[in-house]
Amino acid sequence: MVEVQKFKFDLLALRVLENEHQYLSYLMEEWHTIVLAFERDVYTAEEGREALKTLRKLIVDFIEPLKNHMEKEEAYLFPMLAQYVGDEQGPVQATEEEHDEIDAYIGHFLHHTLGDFSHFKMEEMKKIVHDAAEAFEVLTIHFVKEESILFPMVNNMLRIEEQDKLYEQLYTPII
Amino acid sequence: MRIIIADDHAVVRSGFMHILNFQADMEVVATAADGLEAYAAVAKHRPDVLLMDLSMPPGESGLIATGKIHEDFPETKILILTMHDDEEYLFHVLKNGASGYILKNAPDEELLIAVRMVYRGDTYIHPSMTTSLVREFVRHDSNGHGNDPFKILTKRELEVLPLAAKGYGNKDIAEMLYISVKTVEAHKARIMEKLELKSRPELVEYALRKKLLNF
Repeated sequence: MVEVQKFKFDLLALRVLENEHQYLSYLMEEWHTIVLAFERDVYTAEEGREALKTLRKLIVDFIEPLKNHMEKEEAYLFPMLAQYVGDEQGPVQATEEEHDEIDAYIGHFLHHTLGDFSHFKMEEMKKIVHDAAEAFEVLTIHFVKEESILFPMVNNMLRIEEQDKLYEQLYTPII
Repeated sequence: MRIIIADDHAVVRSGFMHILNFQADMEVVATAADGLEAYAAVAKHRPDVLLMDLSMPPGESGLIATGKIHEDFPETKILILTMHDDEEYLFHVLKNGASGYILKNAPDEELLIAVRMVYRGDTYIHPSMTTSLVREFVRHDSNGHGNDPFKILTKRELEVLPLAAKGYGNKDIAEMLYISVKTVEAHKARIMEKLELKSRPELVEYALRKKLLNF
């Protein structure tokens, strides 16, 4: 039996985002297994090329829900919080920058795995996979930061009408 | 509404969990990968609704577990998730205590409607399957037990049969079901006798015909 991680927040707007984090984390764990296998030198070159193909497919599948999730935050959550804490410095700005960083790592990985990579040697593959590893690390820390810094701000600073409005805006599926 | 999801595929559990947790009135409290885990999870969390896959690994199929869970925790409503749109299955899961039956490829909206319906105490059957259900009901009512394995065999025999048909040895089956090898032998002998089968190929053919094998 797998105990499910309980929601930290009761506020519906935050529950939507936390639920999305949980789902995205599950998808990330799936492709991160392959990243770890590369780091642990589990594959031969041939196995590595197959694994890289699978990794690319899993990351491509991951992009859509991730993009939908980040776009919602950027369109609604960040501007609402920025009214109170600004967005030229501080937690909102830092979080937005992390979104860009995640985009860059994933974009890099996808760019380098575009087309035929049957000629790739193990060292090349490990270098490419390193971008996916970085994306995983930034994402993991990013989720924790959002849940421990930004989400409590929504709970504590926004007025009830704003929290309700945020829920309405965020209540759209990412898959 | 507190919900448990039982399915042997992590991707299915995760996807359904996301969809259900997205609803303000629903919360997934645990997940399970087989019938035994599902039973333990229900015993621990006493959820309002259990979403139960019918085709889970050996040891405890979803169908058998459904019966046990319904017997011991009747307050938990069981909604069956399955790939089978087979009328014989439909009939038997309902007889085993399920409150509804939904295909895994059903749209999300339908899943949510079904969950809310069984939670309210209603039965959910997809409209396209009600005709089959009535036909099956009439057939059972007029034919008596006939050649129906669910009527002829005990629950334990229904667990042993697919494993034996898949070629597991007595020792393997005994370990999977936590019973002795002698008990497995006795169950197998009774199954063959009750079904009037003489060989394992006949047993395999019977299990396939009656859709008792989930690969």
